[in-house]
Amino acid sequence: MKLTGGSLALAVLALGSSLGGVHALFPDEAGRIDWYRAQIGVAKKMQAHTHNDTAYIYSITQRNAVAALRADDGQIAWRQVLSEPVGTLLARDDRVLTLSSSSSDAHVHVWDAGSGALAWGFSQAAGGGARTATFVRDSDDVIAVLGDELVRVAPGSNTPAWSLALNGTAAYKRIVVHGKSVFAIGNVASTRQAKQQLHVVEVDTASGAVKTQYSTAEGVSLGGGSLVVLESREYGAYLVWRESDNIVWHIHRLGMTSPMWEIYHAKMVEVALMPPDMLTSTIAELDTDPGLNDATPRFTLTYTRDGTQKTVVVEMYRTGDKLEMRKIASFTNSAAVAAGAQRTVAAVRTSADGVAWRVRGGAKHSGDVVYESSTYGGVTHAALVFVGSAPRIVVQTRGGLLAALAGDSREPVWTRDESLAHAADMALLALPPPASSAEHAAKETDPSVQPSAAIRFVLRWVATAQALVESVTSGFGIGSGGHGGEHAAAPTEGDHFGFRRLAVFGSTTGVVAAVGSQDGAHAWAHYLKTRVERVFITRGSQALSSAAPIVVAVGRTRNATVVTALDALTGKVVSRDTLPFAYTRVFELPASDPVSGQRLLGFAVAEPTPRLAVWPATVEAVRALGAANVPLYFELGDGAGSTAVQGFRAEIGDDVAEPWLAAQPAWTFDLPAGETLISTSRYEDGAFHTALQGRVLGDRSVLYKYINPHVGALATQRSAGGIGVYLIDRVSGRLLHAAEHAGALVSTGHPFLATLSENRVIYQFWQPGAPAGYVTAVVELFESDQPDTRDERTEVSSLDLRLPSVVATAFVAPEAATALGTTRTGSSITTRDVLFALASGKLLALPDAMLDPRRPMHAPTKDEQAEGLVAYSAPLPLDPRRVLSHSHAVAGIAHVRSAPTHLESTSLVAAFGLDVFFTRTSPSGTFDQLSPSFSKANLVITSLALVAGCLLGAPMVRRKLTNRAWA
Amino acid sequence: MRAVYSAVVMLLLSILALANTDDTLAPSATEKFEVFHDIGYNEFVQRGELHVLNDGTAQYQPIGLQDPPRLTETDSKHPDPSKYTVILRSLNGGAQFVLPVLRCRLVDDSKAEETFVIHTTENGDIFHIDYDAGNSANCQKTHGSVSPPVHTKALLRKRAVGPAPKLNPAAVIDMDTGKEHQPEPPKSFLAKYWYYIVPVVIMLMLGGDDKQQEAPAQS
Repeated sequence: MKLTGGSLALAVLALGSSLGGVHALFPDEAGRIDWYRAQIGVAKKMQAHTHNDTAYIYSITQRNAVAALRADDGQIAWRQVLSEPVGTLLARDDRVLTLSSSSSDAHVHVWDAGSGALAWGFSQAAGGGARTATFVRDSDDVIAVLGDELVRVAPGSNTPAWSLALNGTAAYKRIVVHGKSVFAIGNVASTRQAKQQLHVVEVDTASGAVKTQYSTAEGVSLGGGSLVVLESREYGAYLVWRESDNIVWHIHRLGMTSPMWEIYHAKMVEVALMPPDMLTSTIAELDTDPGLNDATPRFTLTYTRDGTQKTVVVEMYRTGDKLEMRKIASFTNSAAVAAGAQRTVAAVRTSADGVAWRVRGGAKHSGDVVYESSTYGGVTHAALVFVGSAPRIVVQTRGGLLAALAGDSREPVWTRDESLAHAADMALLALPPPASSAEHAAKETDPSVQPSAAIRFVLRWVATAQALVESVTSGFGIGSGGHGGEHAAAPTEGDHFGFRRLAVFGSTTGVVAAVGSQDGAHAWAHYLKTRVERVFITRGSQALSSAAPIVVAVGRTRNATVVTALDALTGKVVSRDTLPFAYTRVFELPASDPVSGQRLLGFAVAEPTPRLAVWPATVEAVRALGAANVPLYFELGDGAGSTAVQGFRAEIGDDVAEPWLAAQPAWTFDLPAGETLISTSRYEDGAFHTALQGRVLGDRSVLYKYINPHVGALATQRSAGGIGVYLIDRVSGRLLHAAEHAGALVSTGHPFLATLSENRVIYQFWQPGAPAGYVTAVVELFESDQPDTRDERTEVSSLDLRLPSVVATAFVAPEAATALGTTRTGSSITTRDVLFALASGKLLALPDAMLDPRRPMHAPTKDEQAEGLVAYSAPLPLDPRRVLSHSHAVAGIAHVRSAPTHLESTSLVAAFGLDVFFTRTSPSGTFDQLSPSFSKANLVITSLALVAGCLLGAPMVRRKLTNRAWA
Repeated sequence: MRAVYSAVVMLLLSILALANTDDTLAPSATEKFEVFHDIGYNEFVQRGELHVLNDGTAQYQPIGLQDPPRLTETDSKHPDPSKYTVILRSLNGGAQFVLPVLRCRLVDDSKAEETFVIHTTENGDIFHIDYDAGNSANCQKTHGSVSPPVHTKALLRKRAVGPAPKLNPAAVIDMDTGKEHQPEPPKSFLAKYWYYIVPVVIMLMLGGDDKQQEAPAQS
């Protein structure tokens, strides 16, 4: 054997290639595969407050969260997520007061301002809900309007100190505590005899006795833009209002009925104000926290002249006995105004490409921040807080961005994308493959662009070197997860394993936002102004193609459907169509648009006649659908409350003239008498796929699975109590299985949840009584109850009668769940995990076998052991090792999604609702990956040792061969 | 004593006979439907009756072809002409079921089979009926006439009681000791029922003495 220089070079080359070509996970990725982002939702109300020298932004949100954000970095100091809407927020000293109410109960909560711990709470049945609450000055007591009662509650008390039944004809929405009096102010609706007016009840703070009550402020209402309530510790409490056809202000001191009011002219405050301006002006309260500036309360006057909106900040004060008002600041075109301490006030103005902020009333501050309002919409709320002596304005945008503006920086100090807390749907975009893979794709698709072998080699090494540099600079965190860093670089290129993707969220705030699936890095956002309900990837990434991937957001207005197509990599709008119908369901169609190459979308429309509208709304698209020659079925009447579900078949005629298909009724499924629909479930995309057509039993016989992608599960509420569960074929309308759970209870607090995968339907519901608990039922469908018996037809149609054999059992769920799901892999060879999003914030993954309805009630026989069955045990275990979210409490999960990766063993899993959590899981272990203990270094050293051995041994072999020749 | 035994034996035999008689009673129909087929377009002719029986089964009984009853136009409600429709009309004043299948499934199928699947609640109330006839493969045929089904099957499916967790009995803790109360060990058959068995054995023994005493007297 002669080792030439050429063969040596080849050996080194092969060794080098192996360094860059191994596709597997390595130990440096372990434990860094997930990310989590805690959210609070879009703020309904914000209040800046400093506690223990730390500035906080307290907020109550549309997702029922009460939260404290640190003003310096925007991190959540504490958060409480309530089950009912929160309507009142008041931070004072070391306490934060909130008032929340469900349809039947009202809850007063007082939280510790620093830790968020519940200091004390009080609940009371309140049919009209909770209206308002406030602290009693110089006391820890709270006075609140709960339903139609005014109550005073002391900390820790289960009963009110006193309660007063209020006049039921007025809606009391405001309480003012001044001195020894409490004023409850309510709107009295207009009648034929009387105009809208306010009703005021003055109550003794200590005893709850009524001192006086009267009506005033005719023609105006609380929250109507024409009235403000001003609280001054020194001067008393006042109502200021302007009647609709009057240019003067009326000022009424609460509790004083003679005279009922004084007149004040706004021109004394704003000289430039003309009578026409006054008639269209509005006034709004600014010092909603009376503790902030209770000496000289302020409010804003806003009017428009020559197309310019002007906001004047007015301060009330007294000179002797005379009530006076003066302008302390004015702003033009301000989107939001916020009050600060020490008489400061801030205003924020939004333009198309920036946000300008001004602080007045003390030292002047101002700044301009680059912000494209097309990303998250205009500013709706602002709060002014001082971090040290520097002002910081925290703004909330309509779409859900929370940002802090300060100093001379053109960038926000910090931002939070709270639109994700309102996500209604998510789609995962597979990113363009890395360069080396693109080469292979090019080789397969277009040989003309194929680079030479040498160039491919160099390219591969360059890519490897880049990955190495990135790895070193990121602290060896290849594919690292973490806490959803919004400012990390968003991915633009995929990876070999299919882990790195772009998660595109559509939210009800109107924002479509894309983040990296591996680390939560913000990629782009676009504000669409209409609530988004679904997102679809209609054109994926293609190697070496200039056509950008497209994501389509589907939203709705009152009578129209808005379909917006965006470039999935940049977020730029490609097209926006307003379709003149209200859809009931949207889904992907089995054809692509011949013009754009996008997957067609179908909209099931009920009115005026049932039909299937096609997007893109072109005749060519409908013709392409016709060419696909696939029967199209859809259902209507499958929403909650329905008593009949109707199936339709969309007909494609020969002469296509409209971008929609007429639909003919195919079937009707009338629910049994006394039952109404509460939920409909279908297979998620691809969830019915299976690699195994049957289950191999212990005796080597096979029980064949009933696989039907058209199975749908209907859950109904029975008027007599309990629920019904019906499995139907959505093409033929045939009933495949029906079951009733007589004792089950489904309500808002105890929803019915279901997930379908392969031949299995899993659903969960609340079972009251003794023993009460959440029941997880599993229904598995087989072709026959006899092994080795199957449908021999080569072509299977839903229109042919195929009745499944059913095996069912039930377990006790470990906790209440908020969403169910199952893992998915590329070929469905790997066993599935069933995913439970628990109300406690855990994402639990239980193996398929644990929910097997064939688990024996006794110790398993040998055959059953061979089948992999374990003895039945009713409680499903809450095993901490199976909690994918490990230490994170992922709040408010409403959706659990799974997507396959390029590795058969591994699934991507996303859970979102209020918080967002991404991870990947391998239900059967990482059988197609190198083990974590595999050492690349050892491989290299071994290979080098072999090469060295060859080099050292070559002369000896040569000598031996020579000697043998001479022998 | 012997007379008493005879009476007891007769009583037991009578009970047994009555029980057997109950078992052999013919099941009765809880619901009957007239089955009308859309033989011609929108011409519904009765071909049989469908009986839902109280033993959890359903039976189809064809009727003679001589001048069978027909549905009036009002009852047939102008069904979809592309469908072969069967109408079930209750003879007990119950609901009427209109059951269409694609007409092409019956094209040139002289051995076409039809199946009725009747779904009932736990109380036996019918809430849904599925119907299948012919074969999807027949829809590939471009020409041919529709052949009404010649074989009929009827299946009855009762709504199942949904699965419930099978819980172990609750553990009982002794309040005095704080320990779990152990269930009593299972007793043998004799230990459980000795007080029934002993008198019977004694009576049998005493009865045997009477026989022995009577026998020598006769001889």
